[in-house]
Order: sequence, then structure tokens, then C-alpha cells
Amino acid sequence: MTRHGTHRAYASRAVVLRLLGIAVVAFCAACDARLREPPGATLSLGELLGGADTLHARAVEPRDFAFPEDHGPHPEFRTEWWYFTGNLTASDGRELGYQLTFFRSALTDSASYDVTNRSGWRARHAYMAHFAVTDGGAGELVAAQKFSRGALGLAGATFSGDTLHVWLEDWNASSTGDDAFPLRLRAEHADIAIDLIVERGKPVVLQGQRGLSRKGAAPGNASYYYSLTRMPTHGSVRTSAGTFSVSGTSWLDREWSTSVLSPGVVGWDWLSLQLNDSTELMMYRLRRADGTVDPFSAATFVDRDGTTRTFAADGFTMIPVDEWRASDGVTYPVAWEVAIPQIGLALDVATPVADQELDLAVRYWEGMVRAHGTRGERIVSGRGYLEMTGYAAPNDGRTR
Amino acid sequence: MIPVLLRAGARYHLRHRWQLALALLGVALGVAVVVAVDVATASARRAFDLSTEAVSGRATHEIFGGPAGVADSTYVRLRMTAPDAAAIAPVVDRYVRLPDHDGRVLRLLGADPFAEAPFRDFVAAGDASFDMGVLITTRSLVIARSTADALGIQAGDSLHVAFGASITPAVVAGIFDPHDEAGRLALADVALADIATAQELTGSIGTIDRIEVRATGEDAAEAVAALRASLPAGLRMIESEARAGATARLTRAFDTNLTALALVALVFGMFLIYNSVSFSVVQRRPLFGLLRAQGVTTRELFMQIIVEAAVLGAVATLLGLAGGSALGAMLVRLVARTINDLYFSVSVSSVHLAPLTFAKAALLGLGATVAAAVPPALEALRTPPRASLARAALERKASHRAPRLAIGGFAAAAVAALLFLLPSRSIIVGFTGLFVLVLAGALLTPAATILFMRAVRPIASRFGAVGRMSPGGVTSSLSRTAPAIAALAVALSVGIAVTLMIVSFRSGVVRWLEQSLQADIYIAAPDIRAGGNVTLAPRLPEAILALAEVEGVSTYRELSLLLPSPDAVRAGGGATSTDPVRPDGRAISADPVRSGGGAISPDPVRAGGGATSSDLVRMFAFDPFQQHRDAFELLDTDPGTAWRAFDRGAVLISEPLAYRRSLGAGDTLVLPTGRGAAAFAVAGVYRDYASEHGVIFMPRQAYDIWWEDRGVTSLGVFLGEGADATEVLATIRQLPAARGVLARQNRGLREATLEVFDRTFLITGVLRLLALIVAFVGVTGALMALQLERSRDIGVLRALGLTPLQVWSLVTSQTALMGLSAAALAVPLGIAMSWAMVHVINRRSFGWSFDLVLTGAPFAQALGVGIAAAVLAGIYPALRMARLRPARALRDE
Repeated sequence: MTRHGTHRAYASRAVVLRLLGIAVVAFCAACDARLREPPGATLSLGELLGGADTLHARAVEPRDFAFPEDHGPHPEFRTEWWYFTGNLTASDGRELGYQLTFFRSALTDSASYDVTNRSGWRARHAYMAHFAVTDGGAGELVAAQKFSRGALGLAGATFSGDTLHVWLEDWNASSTGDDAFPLRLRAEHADIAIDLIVERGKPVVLQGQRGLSRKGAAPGNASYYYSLTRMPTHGSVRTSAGTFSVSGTSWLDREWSTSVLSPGVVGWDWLSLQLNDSTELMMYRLRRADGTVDPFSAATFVDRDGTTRTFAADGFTMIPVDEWRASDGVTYPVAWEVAIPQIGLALDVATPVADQELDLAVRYWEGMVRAHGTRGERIVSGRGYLEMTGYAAPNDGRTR
Repeated sequence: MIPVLLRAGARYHLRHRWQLALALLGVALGVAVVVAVDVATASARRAFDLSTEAVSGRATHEIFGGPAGVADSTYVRLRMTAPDAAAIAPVVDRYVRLPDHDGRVLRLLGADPFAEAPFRDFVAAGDASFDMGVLITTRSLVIARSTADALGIQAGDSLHVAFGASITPAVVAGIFDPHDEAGRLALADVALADIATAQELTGSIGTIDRIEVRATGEDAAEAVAALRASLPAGLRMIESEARAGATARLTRAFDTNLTALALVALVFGMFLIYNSVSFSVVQRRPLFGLLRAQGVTTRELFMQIIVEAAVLGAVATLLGLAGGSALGAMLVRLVARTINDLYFSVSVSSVHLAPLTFAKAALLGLGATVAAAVPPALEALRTPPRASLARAALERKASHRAPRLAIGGFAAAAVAALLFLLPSRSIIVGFTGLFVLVLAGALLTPAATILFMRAVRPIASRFGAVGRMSPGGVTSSLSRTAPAIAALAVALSVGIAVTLMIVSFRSGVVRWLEQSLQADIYIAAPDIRAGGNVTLAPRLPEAILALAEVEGVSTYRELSLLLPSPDAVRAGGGATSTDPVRPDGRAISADPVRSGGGAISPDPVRAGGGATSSDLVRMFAFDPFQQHRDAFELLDTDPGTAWRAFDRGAVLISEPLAYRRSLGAGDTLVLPTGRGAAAFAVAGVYRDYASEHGVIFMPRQAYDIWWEDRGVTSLGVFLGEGADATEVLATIRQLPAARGVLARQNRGLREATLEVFDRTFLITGVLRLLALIVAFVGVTGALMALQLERSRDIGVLRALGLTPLQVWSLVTSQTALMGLSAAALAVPLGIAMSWAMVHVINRRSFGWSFDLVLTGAPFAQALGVGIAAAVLAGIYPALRMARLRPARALRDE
């Protein structure tokens, strides 16, 4: 059972709404204040997001996933995203990381959306995208964000004729071949840009219970969640240091849901690793307001052949061993000791670039990491991505 | 400073409470007038600036399309490809009506919240709770608390929104309380909506009114260039400052007008203060003489006088500030009303007390008071102590000085004339001349008073001993009477001048309306103050022409054009892509005469012309019915030649535009057309008071070629002999193609136009009235103080046997004579000032000309006010003195 996706769902809805509030300071800054609470800490938001919802479909029981169709959007659910991260190496050996995320969020829960004499600007969904590139050589991360409504072709997600197309203005992820893959990822902002071909690689990993990621005791309080954990990637990346021809491995997280977590969680630490023995690891630790780790924290180990083992909170450990301090004193644990005793896995996780904080409308740390350690008798190493949220109060959004 | 001196001063004032109170009143009124005008103008200006910023936001550039606006798809393409350093956002910006709320007009600002963040945040938080999702997915609005309260609606209420002929229900999704003043001001009478809602409510689905651009950072210039290069044909990008500049110019004339009124108030306030203070010093000459005789040094005494004046000034300044702010609050509404009539909707919901106002008031109240005290103080102290006890010496000196002052006065008048006749177009030079003229009047006052009194003496003598004494009394206390007479004369002459100017202008406008309103019925597209975007049904002209009673139809297509600066044209630059067709016309209302909206924008002391960098002008594509051509009074060429040129594609331009750009028949004017810059010959210049910015009439055929637009925004309908306009109007309203149009008969339109004209001058009239009231009170006070001081003289007269009634008539007739002489002086001064206002100030401000019309009413008014003030001022002193026992009056000293 995986929960981190749920939090992203939660976060994405909160972020989209919050940013809407910010974007619409012209309209009202109070809703901004209302939405400015850290994700998970806002009861009203929790109620709003977890409340009775008759219009949106809910994840009640395991479903039969159908690929490639399920790579496409599920607009009957409230929230959905396509979350790409990857570690790349340039031909000159320079190490680069990227993140490209598309969030879709339903704008309304009500049916009053239908109007005649309708403007083309009417939309049911809001989209948000985050784009970041880490230049290991220069030791810096550059990030950008975009927002739009799903109207007039400004943003959207479509799947037709085995072709996936997700875009927010000129940032996009689009199928270039049959059967959805390979995907071409393109994004550009000021000094950073990516143009990458991402192949499917290892088969789909259905997270949780055959892809049903349960969130609580109540039926329907769950999401559908799958991952592509080892996707061969090549193309070009531009940073302020220049344009690099690159190759490497990407990770895609896909999730759609309607309801969210119960309150009490203030943040999470999520980790994905691709180890050099062709296995992958995903684990996350949910932090509660009282400092304890939420019992719904979980981990998934993906073997060489794609078979998975999931672990509950008591089946693994994540211990912070070093921290990085932002200029305003906010600290993130950027080095960890992680272990899953049942499979003999013990790893030291560290990052070559300590400052990979994204100071966007939501402030979080997401960046490339390196892992070294042992699995059973054998020494293993790997690369991956670490995401840490809830350490800094979100900024006020006026990032102008 | 010697305490005993202070005590002596305080004692004196305590014993002469009336004089002290009147001096305080004089100074306080002077300060109050200035503060009131300042407060009113500053508040109006602030509201204006805020709403301008609320609309322009932080945009650095704006993109406009053709008459139809910018297509959604065009925006989306630009959005996808716009450089990162140049954020862009769509805006729908219209005025809508609320039919359920007396047709109240709100500005509907439609924006895309997702693209909006970099542009506006004029609501800095407040209490509100509404679902952004609802705002974006339903037809809903957000309004400010003040607007909601005024409308009596609450969140969740439904509201009918009318635009043109369509009425659409919308829900008030939220109400917010902008927590700061700026937000409150900026958002009063503004309805915010998602861009989808704004499109649906204004029937502009598929198009937006403009695209805002915010280019920031090091790459801003590059980004702007790239964006400009990527613009499809028909779209133009201008710098927001250029547009803000055009808006600012739109109001600069009004602004200058207010400033001028404030200056008039300032000058007048100074006169009042000078009069009050110099009198309070002069009347104590005997005391000063006494003190000096007892060994007080000149220096000590001088300091004493200055300190006293400063204290008086400080107290009066505070009083004046309080009174002035209160008065200003009342004026604010009038000022806002004028702006609304002339330009666009602005709500002045609060009174703004600027630090500068305080500074001005303090400088005036303290500075002018002290400065006014210095000359009489020096004079009093320079004379030997013994002589200063005798008033005769002072008065002799004052009379002797009169001719010299008069020479100065004539010199000043000559300077003023020179300033007026200079071949300059500067408003500032014009105003300087006006003030030099006022100064000339003040300098001439003593000599004029002596002459006047000499002239009336033979007549007055017929009324016996008292009559013989009256004129002499005025002349013999010239040091006191001259400043009072000058103050009254200045106030009266300003009143005369402003009245004459308004009367002249009004008669010019009436004559012009008679000529230009040729059509029997006028029909306009139903677009409230939005101009341009809404056109009439294409079938309407034909349908009307098909009516039996209709003889002919003229069609208009109105546009707003931002003309490139004349310099750029001369430099050969011509119209570049930075000069857009401005079809949104938000800032400019519909042609008042031809479509019934908007307003004439004349104002008396208004200024602000001169060559400007660029001009926002109105252009009409005009297809005139033959008879309609008589509506134009051509100024520099004969109608036949002009209309022949017009028929060959030349344009007619209005007098203000011709004046500002020094254009005449045969010259060339470069216009930014839909197909790029193009040069047009000027067929002629016609008289026009409808717009100070200029109007261009272009032949319809030329417009069709250059703009590729078939739209018509208004019509002039000519009826055959004997047709009943009312009946035809009713028939036209029945036409299916005429649904929702504004239609008016010639007569109604003329009345409506004159009504707007009169309303425009309301503020001026009120300020003039204010000046008169202040003059009245101030001068009454001064004269009263003057007469009170003469108790001893009166005592002597009573002792000599004058009856109380005789004393009363002596005092009253003296003040009446003063009023009369002030009025007499005010007449030539007023005529000279009104001549300058009409031929110098108005011409330079607006570029239009009209003839000075002299009517008797203003003079009679001035005479009445002058004498009434003087007589009223005499009543109390006269009563008091008449009651006084001679012995006691004599002992008083």
C-alpha cells in the first residue's frame, strides 16, 4: 500500500487551489490565506477534499488496469498527475537530474458547470506543472512552474489512437511511437530546457493492492497508482552551462484519486532508487504533527523481473543523518540511512547537490540522490530522487 | 523677548477680542479655501490614479487587435510561444449595466486567474470566502463590500447584468473587503470575473479586448522584441506608459484646471491673510509708539510682532485645516461627478489629505501671515515714536504712495498683456499673465480708491454732513481700507471673469449645437461608454432608409486612434507598429452629439494642451447624407473645396487637433490604419467642442479600404418635410434590427448635451461661489475690524453732536462706498481676466476658440455682492458705535 501518491494528490489539489488563490490575488487574497496552510494541516481543506463527493468517481476496489489507455487521463476522478523524474549523464560525464510534473485538478465539484452560450475559456480542470533541472557539474537546481486551465488548448491531457499527450502550454509529454511509448518530454524555461525520449523500460508496477492504494478505513478512500520504475532515457538537457547530450534512467509515477488523507500529516520524505543490480526501491515516511511517523508509511521493492514486495511502516527504516540549511534557516535532511531488514537491504543515501530546494508556490526539496550499501551479501549502488515536503512554511506565493 | 511685552500684546488682544477673532477668521478662511480645493482635487486625482493602475496593473506593454478585438486563438498561440521573460495575460474590460439597480454601471474586468498573478494585486487581502472553482466554472462575479452594500446584495445573490441589448443572470460568488484604502478605491464599482464569464456577459465569446504583457529581467527588451516579431498581422503592441500617457493626457487638462482653481484660491487666501494681518499690525501703531517711547527697542518690538503673527498664523492654520478638510470633503463629490461626466467612472469614496496639503497650508498660514506682518511692522518701527502715535502721518504716507503703486500697477498690466500676446502656447505663461494681472489690480487699488472717492464726493455731498464725510473717511484711512478693497475686488473680478467665460463658452456651444445637430434622429449602438466594439446590425441603415418618412441616412463608425507624436511624423517615422488602433475606446466616451453618450468637455480655467508626444483621438468613418454636410462649420477653407477634397479621400479634422498639431487644409496627417501607417490629406478644419483631444472625419470609402471593416456604430436620420420625428422614432424602435439601440431625437440630444455642459461647470460654479462666500466673510470681517477700530473717532463725532443714526449712516455708507469701489475696480479687471481665459487659457488648453460675450448679469452680481458685503460689515460696528457713550469712547484710549 503506497501513500506517497496520495499526498501528492493532496498536495496537488491544495497547491492548485492555493495558487489559484494567489494567482487571483486580484480577486481575493483571503482565500490565499485560507489555502496557505501547510498541506495536511488544514482541516477545512481536508474536509473539503475528503467530503462527500457524488460527482467524482472513487477508488473503491482494485480495478483492471488497461494499458496503454490508463496512461491517459481519468477526468472522472478529482485529481491526477504524471510525475517524471530522472538521473542523466552527459557525454562528458556531467551528472544531471530533471523533474517534470503535470498535475490535473478538477475545478469544481458541482454540476453547475453547464451553461449555454459558453465561452471557450470555460474549463473543468486546472493544470499545474513543475519543471526543474539539477546540474551536478555546476551544483545548482533551477526550477519553474506553470498554471493554466484545461481550455482552448492551453493545457490538457488526451489519449487517443494509442497516443498520449499531456501538456501545459509549451511543456509537454507526448507519445512518439505506438502503444503510448516512447514519450518525448519537452520543457523550457529561461536557462533550462529538456528534450528527452523516454522508453517504457521495465513493466508497469501496480502499487498498493493491485494498483489500489488505500488511504483509510472508509471504502473509496483510496487512489489508483502505478509506476514505471526504470525507463531508458536519452536526449538533450540545457543548463546555464550549455546544452548537453544525455542518457540515463527516468521514473514515472501515475496516480488518480478523488479523496484524500485524514488530517494530521505535516509532510513526507519520499525516495525512489534505481540500483545497479537492476532492482528498484520506493519508500516514504509520513511525518505527523506530533513528530511521529504515520503507520501508513510504506515501501516497495521491485525485483529484476518486475515482481514487487511491499512493506508497511514497521518493515523498513529511514533515518536522517545529515541536514542542509536554507538561507532562512529551514533545514532538510539530505542524507539518510535506509534499510529493509527482511530483504537484507541497507543503504546510505546522499546527494551531490545539497541545495535542490524548489522555492515555488509550494516550497519543497526534490532532487537527485546517490545510494551505496549492501543487499544481502552484495555491494550495491544506485541513483534516484528524493522528495521532502512540509519542512518550510510555504512562501506567500508572491514569487515575482 | 521681554515678558512684559508679551503681556502687553496679550492684553491688547484680550481687550480687542473682536479684532483678534476677525484676524483669525481672515487667516483661517484663507487657509481653508486652499485646503478645501487641495483636498478635493487630491482625492479625485488619487481615485483616478488608483483606478488607472487597477486597470493597467503592472503591465509593461499591451497588445490590441483591430476593431473586433483579439481572437482567443490568437492569444493562445501567443501564450504558447511567448518568451519566458514576457508574461502575457488576457483581459476583457467593459462597462455593464445592472438593470435591477437603477441601471447602475459597473466596470466588468474579466481576467484569467491562471495568467494574472504577475499583473495585479490591488486587493491586498481581506475577509472573503468563496470557491475559486465556482468563479471559474460558473457565471459568477466578485465585488467589493462597498459596492455590495451600495447595491444591497450579498454573496450568493443573483444579479442581472446588461450589456447592450442582452441581459444575463450572474451570481455574486464572493464579496471581499479590501483591507487597505487603495484596494477599496481601486475596486469600487468594479466587478471582477473570470474571463469566460466576462465574455459570456458581454457577448464577446471568442474575443478579448486586449492582451497585457509584463516583460521583466535582463532579457526584457529581447523578449519584447521577440514577442513583437511574433505578432500576427492586425495586432499591435504598445508600451503601457504610452497608453497610460494617453490616459493621463486625457485628464491632464482637468488636472490643470483643478490646479489653477487651487492657485486662484491660494492667491485669494494670501490677499485675505495680508489684509487681516497687516490690519492687526497697523491698528496697533499707537501702542507700539507708546512702548518705544518707554524704551522698548525696535528690535524687541519687531520680534514681538513677528512672534505674535506666527502664533496667530499657527492657530488660524489649524482652524483652516479643519474647516478646509470638511469643506473639501463636500467638494470631492462634485469633482468626481465632473470626472465621471467627462471621462469615465471613478468613485471617490474617501478624502485624501496629502502631506503636501499640510505643507502648503502651513506655509500659507504661517508664512504668509508673518510675511504680511513684516512691512507694516517695519513701517511702524521706522517712524519716530512720537509720530507713530499719530495716525495722520501713516495715512499721509499711504496716500503719497498711491501714485507710485499705481505706476507699478500699470507696469504689471503691461507685463500681463505682453505675456498674453507672446506667440507662446504655454499654459504656464498664460496663467502667469493672469496672476500678474491680479497683482496689477491690487497695486492700482489705492489710487483707484482715491479717484473713486473724489468722484463720488460731489454726489455724496448732497446727503448732508455725513455724506460729505463718508468718502473722505475711506481715503483718509487708506492704509487700512486699500487692502480690504483689493481683496474684495480680486474676489469679485474672478467671479466676473469665470462667469463671463462660461456664458461665452455656453453661447458658443449652443450655436455650434444648432449647426452640428442637423439630423432629426440619432441612433447609436448600445455600448455604454465602451465605444467601438459594439456595432449596429448591418441591415439597420437600409431598413431605416426604407421608411417612407426618411429622406436620408448618414452612417458613422467610431474608433479611437492613438496618433503618433507630430515629431515622429515630421522625422519621417510615421506611424509604426507601436501605434495601435484603439478600438476598445474605454477611455473615451461615445460622441455626445452624434450618439448621445459621453459628454462635452469644456472647462473654464482648464489647461494642458501644447504639443504632446501622442494623442488619443476619435475618428469617425463618415458616410454623410448630402444635407448633413452643413453640420460642419469650416474654419480655414470654403465648404465646397473642403467637401470636394473629402470626397476624394481627404479627412476633416477638428479645431483642437488642428491647433495642437499646427495643421490646416492641404496639410498631411499620418494615421495608424488597419493596414499600417498611411498619410491622409487634410480637407479642412471644422469647429468642434466635443473633444479637446481632436476628432477626425474620414470618408467611409477610405476607411473601408484601410481598415477592412464594415461596422457602423451610429446613424443620423434625416426626415422628409412634415414628418413627425416622434412617430418615426417609434417606428424605428419597432424594427427588428434596431433591438437595444440608443435612439434620440435631435431636440432631446441638444438638451442632454447642454445638461452635461452645465454639469461640467457645476464644480467651477461652486468654486466660484465658494470664493465669493469666503470673500464676503473675509471682507466683512476686515471692514468690521476697521470700523471697530474707529471707535475713538466716532466718540469724537458723537461728542461733537452727531446722532446715533448719523453715526450709523456714516459707518454704513463708508463701507458701502468701499464695496462700490471694489466692484468698480472689479469690472475692468474681470473683463481683462475673462478675455485672457477665453483667448489665451482656453485656446492653449483645448485649442478651440469662441467669442467673448459681455452680459450685464455678472457685473450686477459683483456689484450686489460687493455692496452687500460692505453694508453687512457696517451694521454691527455701526450699532455698537451708535450705542456708545461718547465719553466712554473717548476714555477708551
